[in-house]
Amino acid sequence: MSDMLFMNVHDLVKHFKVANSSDVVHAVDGVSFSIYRNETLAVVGESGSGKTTLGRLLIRLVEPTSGAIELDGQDISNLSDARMKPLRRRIQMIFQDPYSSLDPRMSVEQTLGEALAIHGLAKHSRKERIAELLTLVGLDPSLAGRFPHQFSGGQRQRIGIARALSVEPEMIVGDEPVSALDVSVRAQVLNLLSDIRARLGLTFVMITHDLGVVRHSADRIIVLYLGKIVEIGAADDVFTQPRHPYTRALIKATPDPFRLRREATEILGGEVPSPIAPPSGCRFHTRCPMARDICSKEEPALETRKPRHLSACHFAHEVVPPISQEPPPRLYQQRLDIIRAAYAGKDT
Amino acid sequence: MAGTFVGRPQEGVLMVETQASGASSSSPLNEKAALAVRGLTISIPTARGPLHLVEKLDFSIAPGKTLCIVGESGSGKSITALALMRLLHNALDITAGTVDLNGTELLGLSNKEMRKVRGAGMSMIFQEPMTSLNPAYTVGNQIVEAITTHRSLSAEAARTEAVRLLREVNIPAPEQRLDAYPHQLSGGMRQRVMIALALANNPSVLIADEPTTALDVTVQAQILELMRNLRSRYGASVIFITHDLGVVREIADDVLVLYAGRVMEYARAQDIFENPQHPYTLGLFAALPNGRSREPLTVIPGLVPMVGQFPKGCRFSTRCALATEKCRMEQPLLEDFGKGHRVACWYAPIESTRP
Repeated sequence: MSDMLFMNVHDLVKHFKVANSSDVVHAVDGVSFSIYRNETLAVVGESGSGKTTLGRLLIRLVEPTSGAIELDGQDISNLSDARMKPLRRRIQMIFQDPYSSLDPRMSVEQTLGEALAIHGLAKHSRKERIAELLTLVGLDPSLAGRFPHQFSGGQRQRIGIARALSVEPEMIVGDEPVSALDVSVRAQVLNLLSDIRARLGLTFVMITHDLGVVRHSADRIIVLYLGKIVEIGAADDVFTQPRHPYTRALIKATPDPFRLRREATEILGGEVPSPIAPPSGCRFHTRCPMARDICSKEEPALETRKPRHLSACHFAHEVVPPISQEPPPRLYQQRLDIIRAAYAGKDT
Repeated sequence: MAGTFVGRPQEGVLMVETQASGASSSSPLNEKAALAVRGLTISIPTARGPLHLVEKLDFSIAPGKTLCIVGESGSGKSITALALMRLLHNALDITAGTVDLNGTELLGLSNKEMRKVRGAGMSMIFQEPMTSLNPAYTVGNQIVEAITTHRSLSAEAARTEAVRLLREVNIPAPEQRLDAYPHQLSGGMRQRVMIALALANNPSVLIADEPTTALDVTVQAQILELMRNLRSRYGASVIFITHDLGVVREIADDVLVLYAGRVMEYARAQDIFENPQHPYTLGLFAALPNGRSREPLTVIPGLVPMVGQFPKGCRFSTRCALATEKCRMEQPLLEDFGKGHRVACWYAPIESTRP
C-alpha cells in the first residue's frame, strides 16, 4: 500500500426523501476518509449501514446531498455529466449479482464493446481488446459471441470484471462482488481480483458484509453503522484490537470454522434501527453492551486511537480484544497442506 | 481404527455398501434415530432412462441432534430436503429408498396422510422467509392456521398459543406482532416467525434450508442461538442445510458432505473439523478465506457437473487433483473408518499413497 492519496471524501451526506412523507432516510450521514493509491479498502457493515450508498456516491451513481469527493484534488461531487464522463473512465464498478448486472440481450462482445465505444476506442481495435480482456479475467476469448445466460455465475462475474477493466480504470468499487458465489467459485474470483489488482496497480474499494473475505483481502477497513463511520484503520489493527464495540461484535458474530462456539452472552441483541430515525447520541447505543448515560446524549467523535486507527466511541479504550482464532488441528493442517499442494497451479 | 489413519485402508476395514448398511451403523452416533433415510434416490425421467440427481443417500438423526448437509449449488441438498417433505417438483421422482420418521415409512403414505405429517411430524423453513410467508395475511392468521390445521383448538386458544410461540422465538411485543403483515417485519423477524410456524405443532424433525444465509451476521448469530435453544427445549432433530462451514461449526452435531448427489463424507462435526478425509471436504476448507494468510486461495477448478454428465467413477473425480484412473472408472463405496466416520474415497485418508 502506498501513501499516495487517490480520493478524499469530506463530510459526505446522502439523505433520501421517503415518498409521500416528510421522512428522510439518513443513508450516509457525514463520513470523511481517504483512499490511497493501490490499496484495498474494505467498507463493512450490515443492512442499513449505508455501505452500498457510499459505494454509489464514490462513482457518482447517486448525487450527494452535501459534502465533497475529491479526486486528485478536484471536487467531483458537483460536476456536470459532461465533465464527469472522462472521470468515469477512471473509476468503475463491479456489482453483486452477475445475473442482473449484465444485459441478457447483449453478447459479451457487445457488452464489452459498448464500454469501449463510449470511451472512444476505435472500432477496429476493439475486437483485439475484447480478446485481451477476456484472457485477463480467465475466460476463453472464443466465447465472446455468447450471451450471459450461457455462462455460470462465476463466469458472469468475470465478465462484469472485464467490463469494469475495459476502460482501464484506476479504481474499482466492488459492491459485494463475491457474495452470490459458491465457495470454490468465490475463491476463484477472489484470486482473480487480487491478481488483477497487483498486475494493473488498481485501487480497490470492496463493499461487503463478509469479514472472512475482508480479512483475506483488505489493507484497510472502514466499519459503518447507520450511515456513520464507527471505526477505520489497518485491517490487522481492526481485527486484533478493535476500538469500537460494534466492530468487536461483528467479528464475534462471523461464523468461523476454527473458533470455539461463542458464548450466548456475547451475541449482540436487537437489529439495526431504522435509518429514518437514527438513535440520539451514539447511534449504536441501543444495542451496545457497554452503553452508559453519555452514549445516548453525546455523539462520540471519530478520534485517533493510534496512528491511522480511528474509532467513534466514548469508551474505546475499554473494548476488549476478541479472542483470535484457535490454531488449526494438526491432522487438519497436514491434510490441508496436501490438498493445497495438489491444487497449486490448477487455478481457473 | 480410531485415531490413526496412516496408510491405505487395510484388509478387514469395514466395507459397507451404502444401500445395504444396517440401521445401527448409519448414524455416526449409533443412537436411536428420529429420522432414518436409506438409499434415497431422486431421479428425473428421460427418454434414455432415469437420471439420478441424488443417489443412494443414507443418513439418520438422533432426537435433539442437528445434522448439517453441506455442499455447493447442484449438490442436491435442497432437493433432498424437499424429497423428505414429499414436496418435490412433479418432474422429479423418488425412485428408491425409504424415509422412516419415528417408525412411519413416509414414502408409502397417501397424500392426505402426508399432509398430516407436514407441520406436525416434520416441518421446514426456507432461506427467504418473505417468499414463504403469505403477504396477504397477518402473521397471527398464518400461525393460527398452522395450529388449527393439526389441532382442534378454539380460535381464542389458538391465538394464545400463537402469542406463546412468538414469545418463544424472542419476538418483542408478540401480542402486537400478531396483527403485523410480513412486509412490516425485518428479515430477522420474518425468519423468527417462520421458526414459530415450523414449531407450532411440535414436530420431531425440523428441516432448515439455508435459514440464515440472507440475514446480517449479527442477526444470523441470534437465529443460530435461538435454534440451538429451541432444539434443546423442544427436543426436535434438525436438518440444517448450508454452504457455510463457519455456520456448520456453530450448530452441527453431525455433518454430511454432499457432492453431485452423492455422499462424500459423513461424520461427527468434530471429526469433520479435526480429521477431514475426503479431498472434496478439504478442498472446501482450502477455498475459504481464513484470515491467516494472504496467499491465493485454493481453487477447485470447474463446476459441479450437471446431472446427466456425472462421471462414471467417483463423482468428484473430474475436479479432484488427486484422482487416479481407478477413481475415474469405479465409484468408491462409503467406507467406515471407525466411530461412524464415513468417507467415499479410494484413497482416504488423503495422505495414503497412490499407485
